[in-house]
Amino acid sequence: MFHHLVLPLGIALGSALLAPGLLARARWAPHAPRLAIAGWLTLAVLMTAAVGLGLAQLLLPLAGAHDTMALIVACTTAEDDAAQPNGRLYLLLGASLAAAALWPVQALAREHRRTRRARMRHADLLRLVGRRSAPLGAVVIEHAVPTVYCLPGRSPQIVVSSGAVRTLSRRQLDVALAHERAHLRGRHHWLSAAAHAFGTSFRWLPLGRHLRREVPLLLEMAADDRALRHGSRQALAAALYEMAAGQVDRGTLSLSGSSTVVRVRRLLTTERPRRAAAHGALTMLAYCLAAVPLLVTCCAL
Amino acid sequence: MPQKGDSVRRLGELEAEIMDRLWRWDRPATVRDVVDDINRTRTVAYTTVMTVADILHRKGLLRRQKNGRAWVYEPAHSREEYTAALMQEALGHTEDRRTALLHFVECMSPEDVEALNAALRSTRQPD
Repeated sequence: MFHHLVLPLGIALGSALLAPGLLARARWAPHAPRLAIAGWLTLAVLMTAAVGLGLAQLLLPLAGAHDTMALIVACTTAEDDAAQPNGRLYLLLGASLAAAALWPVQALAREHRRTRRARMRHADLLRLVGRRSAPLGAVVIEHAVPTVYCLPGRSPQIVVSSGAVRTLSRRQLDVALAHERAHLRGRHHWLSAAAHAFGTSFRWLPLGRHLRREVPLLLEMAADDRALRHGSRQALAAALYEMAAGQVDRGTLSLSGSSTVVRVRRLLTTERPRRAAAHGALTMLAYCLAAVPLLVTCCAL
Repeated sequence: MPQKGDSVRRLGELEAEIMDRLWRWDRPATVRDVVDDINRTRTVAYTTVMTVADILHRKGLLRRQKNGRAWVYEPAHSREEYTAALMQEALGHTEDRRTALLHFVECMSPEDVEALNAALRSTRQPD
């Protein structure tokens, strides 16, 4: 029966160990950020599902069957009830998949509770000291350190400090606000929370490690791209620089190895690959096709 | 339940209105003072303001003392102190901050900022 484990094991190892390095290094990814994000999420789902299938495969003998894949095929293709596998097998399959999903889902729920609490606390403070500015479509807080951010959640808001209004030119401010609107409209906080939860749960795997770093950066790039409808690359890059410089000058804590440098370089580069999304889609499809011989071999065994 | 959400938001707005006045006046004030001032622009019930002032007191935002029969309220902290706390949350590096809010830029080291500056200068078209 152990040769039936090869397929789920192969998918799990491929999506957890092999594919993450390839996707993180893919040249097309920064130029098709949304496709790359979809790729990362697919890997996370694939790995979880494969672990579930593997678990089901190990438990199947208890229910009197021996091949998960054959079972799934029977579930989906059997036309008369007699050929349908019995209920215990469904239960076992469902329970295995649920068990595999339990850890990441639990981490996501914890993450959700934590961020919701932090957002509510922040919204309370903001309501007290913020001043709504209709022309900016944002809440302004009186503070010298330049900052622009958004507070997602029940009543999503964009927040700008008076320092940012003073530091940025009108064009730079417009494009920075458009970037934040893109975050809110695209519900980026959900993806960001999912990436953080999954990445933290599996940080000992290349998939978790890469996903936790790449998805937030790709989300920023996606918002940058969207913001470019409201301003030039030069204005957006300059806005990023002005804000970063303003925060450093004021002696706020800082980290090195910043993703903002990557974003500015991407905005300013003149070598942008053409049809990056098509290139990326084809590359990922090719890798999936490469897995087909594995699938065929396993089913034939 | 949009109605419930609406009334919660209106209470929140009233909290902000009360705090705003007490900060602006910079002196202790009674519920009556606040109600009279809000009533210049719109009508608000005395009991509503009293309830919200009590909530603010319980939240620790207002301090109060009995003066005769009425409570006299004043802010526990200045507006600047709350703004500083807000900015600390916004700019801080706690785990909460990383996913609760989405930022235009993250805080960077001086070396990274210099790298940004160099990248910008090298591509700036002569105009």
